[in-house]
Amino acid sequence: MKITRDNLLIVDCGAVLMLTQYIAVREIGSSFFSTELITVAAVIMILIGPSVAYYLADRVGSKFLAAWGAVTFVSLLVLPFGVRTLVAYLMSLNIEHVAMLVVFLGAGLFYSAFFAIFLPRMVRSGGDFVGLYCLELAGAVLALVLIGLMPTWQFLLMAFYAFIVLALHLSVRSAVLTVPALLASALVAFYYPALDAQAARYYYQCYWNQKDPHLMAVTYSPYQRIDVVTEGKDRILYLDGIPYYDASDLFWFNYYIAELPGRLVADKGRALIVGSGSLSSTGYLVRQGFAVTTIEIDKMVADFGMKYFNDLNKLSASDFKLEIGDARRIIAGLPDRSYDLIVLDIPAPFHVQTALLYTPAFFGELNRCLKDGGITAINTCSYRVDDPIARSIGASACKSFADIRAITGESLGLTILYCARKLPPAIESLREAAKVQERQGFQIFDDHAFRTVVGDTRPHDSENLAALLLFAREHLPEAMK
Amino acid sequence: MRSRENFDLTVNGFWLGSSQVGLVFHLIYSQGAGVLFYFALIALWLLGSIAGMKLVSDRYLALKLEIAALVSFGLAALVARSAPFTAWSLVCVLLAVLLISGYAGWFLKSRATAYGDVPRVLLFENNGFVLGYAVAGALLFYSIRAIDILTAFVLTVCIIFEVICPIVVSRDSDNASPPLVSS
Repeated sequence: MKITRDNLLIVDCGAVLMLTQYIAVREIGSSFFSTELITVAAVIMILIGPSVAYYLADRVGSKFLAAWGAVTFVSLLVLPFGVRTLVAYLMSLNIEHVAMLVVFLGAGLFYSAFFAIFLPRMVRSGGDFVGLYCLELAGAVLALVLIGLMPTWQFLLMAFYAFIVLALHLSVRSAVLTVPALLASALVAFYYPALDAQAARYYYQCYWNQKDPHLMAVTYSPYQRIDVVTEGKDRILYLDGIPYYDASDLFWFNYYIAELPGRLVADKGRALIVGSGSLSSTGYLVRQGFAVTTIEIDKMVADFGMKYFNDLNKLSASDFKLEIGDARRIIAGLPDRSYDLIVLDIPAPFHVQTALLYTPAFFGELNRCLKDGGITAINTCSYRVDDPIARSIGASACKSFADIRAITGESLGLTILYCARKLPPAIESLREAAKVQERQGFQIFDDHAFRTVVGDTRPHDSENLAALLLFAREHLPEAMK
Repeated sequence: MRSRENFDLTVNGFWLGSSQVGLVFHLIYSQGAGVLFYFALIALWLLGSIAGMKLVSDRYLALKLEIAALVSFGLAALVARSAPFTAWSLVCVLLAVLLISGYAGWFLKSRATAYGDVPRVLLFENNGFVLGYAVAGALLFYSIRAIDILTAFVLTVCIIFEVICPIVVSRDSDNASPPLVSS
């Protein structure tokens, strides 16, 4: 096959289509409240783009194409920080649903569509469909390879911009468009960190009502965008734009999920923590004398925990064992009854991968790995124990564990479950232990009371991801529920 | 005639879209959420489509491929659920990806040849794909099994129609002229 201008354009368009999908879905996903529903919707809107292009293929002339190309170029140029800024601005006007509408419609029309129009037009002009389509797919494969090879997000964006400018040049063939596009993309790529920091600052002000946020560190891991934001003396870890650890507020989360159950376990032997975050839970248990293994799927989250929250977790790398990988896969390979304490310190089930960590099958695995006299601590992700989310996760726990205590801490604002085949005798002193630090009050449900609240609620399991759906609905803008 | 062609394109696009959602879930369930597996699935889907376009040019081979796609999809769903984190489940899911995408490649080529109007072929196939993706994406929140059953059902209907009233009767589908379409 000859290397012609048309062939090169089609390969380039295939690469841009794949890169656009990858980058746009991540940006949209981390600008709205990131749930599986947002991710699926973003993918669908990007996939609709080619349909728009196929419909217009025979209906538009070169002037329209040049104008469309220019608008698409600008849309994609500002995509890595523009979506966040736009969402924040419309959020500040209390019209998040409009932001959703604008971003999703824009994604369909001005992200992917333009690059899908050339293949049908070339075939119409006598091009070989099979050859051209294979080239477009090859371009997409090339983009996948690039995504894997690029060392940082900024490098990936540079490659993305280069592909867009090349597509613009090969398709419109106008230096008047190519030269400014090249200059603009070079400028944006160079100043991207500053532009992104400004956008993030504005976003955290408008979306999360922070008064004076400063972006201390940011990175894009293969799984998510990770931000460390400071405000005064406070420091917050955001995963895909959602606060995962707040040094001032989330002390109580680590207290209830790790420190308190740790105190109730007599044998301070081995502890397993699923999810690292700021590594605060790991720090508490290491200081209690446990030999801690922490499982984290995203190495960059653990790295950020060590680097930016080290004054809080007070850990050195040799204090604990860090395993990088999927928790379900790693735990499936662990021996029976091997841990005295298991802590599920993971985000709420916003996405399928985390939703699978709240199922009876996974809880059953945790139960299998728990020693007699040990405790598994699980977050119900809800304040009220009779909330549908808490009940669906609670129903999963009830299926897997014979003995459960639920504690709703007022300072925490969440209900945490302590589960086992048989909880240790020290669980009877839970009330006294909790009283030591909790001043705002708390409520404890024993096994019978908790099972009564859960009743016949359908468990959140891998066939019916109930909590995932409930969370996805809960975090939609009010006008769209 | 055009409406039947459009329906053929949309329905086949539909099961391709829903099968992709189903297979991504089965991959996450059976191998964990490691990002490498996801990229492997997408890369294999793209390469499978290229292979299907380039290598499959016989209708009977394509029919066998479609039946194999159905069997492998069912097998992937079963093995992913019953034997997660085994090499078998990974092989079954990736095999299903390869066979389904291989059929997708042949499907587009054969329809582009048979119907002649490439933008329309791409439009309706993509519309079907988006619809299938959206329906399966919605079912993801309610019942994973429903995604499998729906995909298998629509694919089975497509196979039956392919057998009893084939749209494409010639297999020399690399030849772009003239469209050879059954009545």
